[in-house]
Amino acid sequence: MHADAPEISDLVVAYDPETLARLPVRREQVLGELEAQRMPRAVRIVSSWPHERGVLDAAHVDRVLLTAHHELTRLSEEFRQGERMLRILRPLLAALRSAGVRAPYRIVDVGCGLGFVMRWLAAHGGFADDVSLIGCDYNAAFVRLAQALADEERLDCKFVVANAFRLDSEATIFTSTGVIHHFRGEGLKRFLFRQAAVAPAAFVHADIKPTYLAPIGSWIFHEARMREPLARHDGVLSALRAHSGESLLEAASSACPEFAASLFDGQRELVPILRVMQALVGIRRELLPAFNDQLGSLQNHFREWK
Amino acid sequence: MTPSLLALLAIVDAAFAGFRAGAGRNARIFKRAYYARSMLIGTLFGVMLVTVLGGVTLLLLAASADPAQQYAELVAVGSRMLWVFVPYAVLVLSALALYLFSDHDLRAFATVAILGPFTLLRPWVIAMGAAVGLCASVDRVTWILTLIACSSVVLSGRLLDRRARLRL
Repeated sequence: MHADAPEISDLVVAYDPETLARLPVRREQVLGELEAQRMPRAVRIVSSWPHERGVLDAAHVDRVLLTAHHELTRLSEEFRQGERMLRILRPLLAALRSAGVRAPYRIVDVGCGLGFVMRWLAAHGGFADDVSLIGCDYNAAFVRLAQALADEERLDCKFVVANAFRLDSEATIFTSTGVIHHFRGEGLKRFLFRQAAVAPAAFVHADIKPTYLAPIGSWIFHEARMREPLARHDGVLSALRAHSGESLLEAASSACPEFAASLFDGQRELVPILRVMQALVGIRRELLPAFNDQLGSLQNHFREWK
Repeated sequence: MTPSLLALLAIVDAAFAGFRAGAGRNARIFKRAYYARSMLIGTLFGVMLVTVLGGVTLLLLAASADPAQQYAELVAVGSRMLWVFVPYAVLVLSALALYLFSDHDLRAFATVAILGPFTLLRPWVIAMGAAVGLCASVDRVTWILTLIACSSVVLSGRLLDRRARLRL
C-alpha cells in the first residue's frame, strides 16, 4: 500500500455531483482499480460482496460502511475527537464574538459520517443558543442514522444530505475530522478553494498526523479495535494517506490566501505518540488577532501562522 | 492466594472483554449504561468461567492419587503464571487510570502507548503466561488444566464478541 492508493470506501460509492443521487458502481471497475494498484487484500474484501449484474449491491455497501463507521465512532471516543474540536472551537467562537462577527454562528461539519463530532459537541459543547451545529454528508444512510441518534438523545444538531459548500444558509465555521486525506493532490486545493468561496469566518480540519509511527500505530489500533475488514483496511491506509503539515499549509496558502492558516498539534515530536492527530486551522486574516487573544495556553499547540 | 488472584484476573479480563465486545456497536453519545451493561455481562461470563474451571480442578484433584501434591503443583504453575499476568494487569490498569483521570496529552499517551497495543498483545501474554507457568512442570494433568484454562480465557473474548454481534 502506498499514499496514493485509494481507500475501498472511496471507490465503492459514487454520487451525482449535482443531484447527489447515488450512482451504480460497477464491481469490475472497482476490482480493476484495486488490482491496478496492487491491493490484493482490498480485492479480496470487495470480491466477497454481493452484486447484481456486475453492479455492487448498494444496500450491502451501506451496511458495511455503517458497521465501519460505528467502529470508527469508538476510535473517535478513544481519541477524544469531540474534545479536541471543542478546544479549538471555544476560542474561535469567542474570537468571532469579540471581533464583532454577527450571530448566528453556524458550524458545518463536512463529511460528517454518523455525526459523532457534531453530536458530541451538541452534548458537551455548552454553546450558546446562537450557535448551530450542522453535519453534511453525501451518504443518506449515514445522515439518517446521525439524525435519528441526535433525535433519540435530544441533541441540538442537524444532519443533511448535502454538499457542505452549497447550503442555503451561510456557514461560519467549517469543520471535518478524518476527511481531508481523501482529497489528493490538486483535489485538496480545490476543496479549500471551494470552501473559501462560501466565505466562512474560519475552518478546522482535523486528520491523522503523518509521522514515522503513524502507519504501525494505525495498524495496531485498527487490528485491536476494528472488526470490519474494510475498516481495518481503510484505517491503516488513512495513516499513509494523511497529508503532511507542510502540504496542508501550502495548499491553504495557495487555495485560500485570505485565510491565515496554522496547524493545531502539528509540531514534530521525537516520539510521536502524544499528539496523533493534527488540525489545519484557518481564520480570516482580520480575525486572527482576536483569535490569538482568546487562545491563552492553547497558543503553544499552534505552529506559526502563515 | 494464587488461585484467588488468578480467578480475579480472569474475571477482570472478562469484564474488559465484555466492554470490547460492546464497543464500536453503539454510536450514541451517552452510553455509560450501555458500557456498564457490557462489562457486567463480561463479568458474569468471567464468574461462570472461573466457576466451571474451579469445578473441573476440584474433580481432577478428587480423581488424583495424591491430591495435595497435585494441588501444590497447580499452585506452583499458577504462581509462575502470575509473574507474567500481574505486571500486564498492573500496566493496563495503570494506563486505564491515566486515561480516565489525566489531561488530554496523557490520555493520548495511555491509549496509544499501552491500551491499544496491549489489547492486541493479550492472547500472546496469556500464551506466554501459560508457557512460563508450565516450563518447569511435567505433570500431564497440570498441563491439560492450564492449557484449557488459558484457552478458555482467550476464547471468552471471542465468545462475548460473537454474542454482541448476534444481538445486533
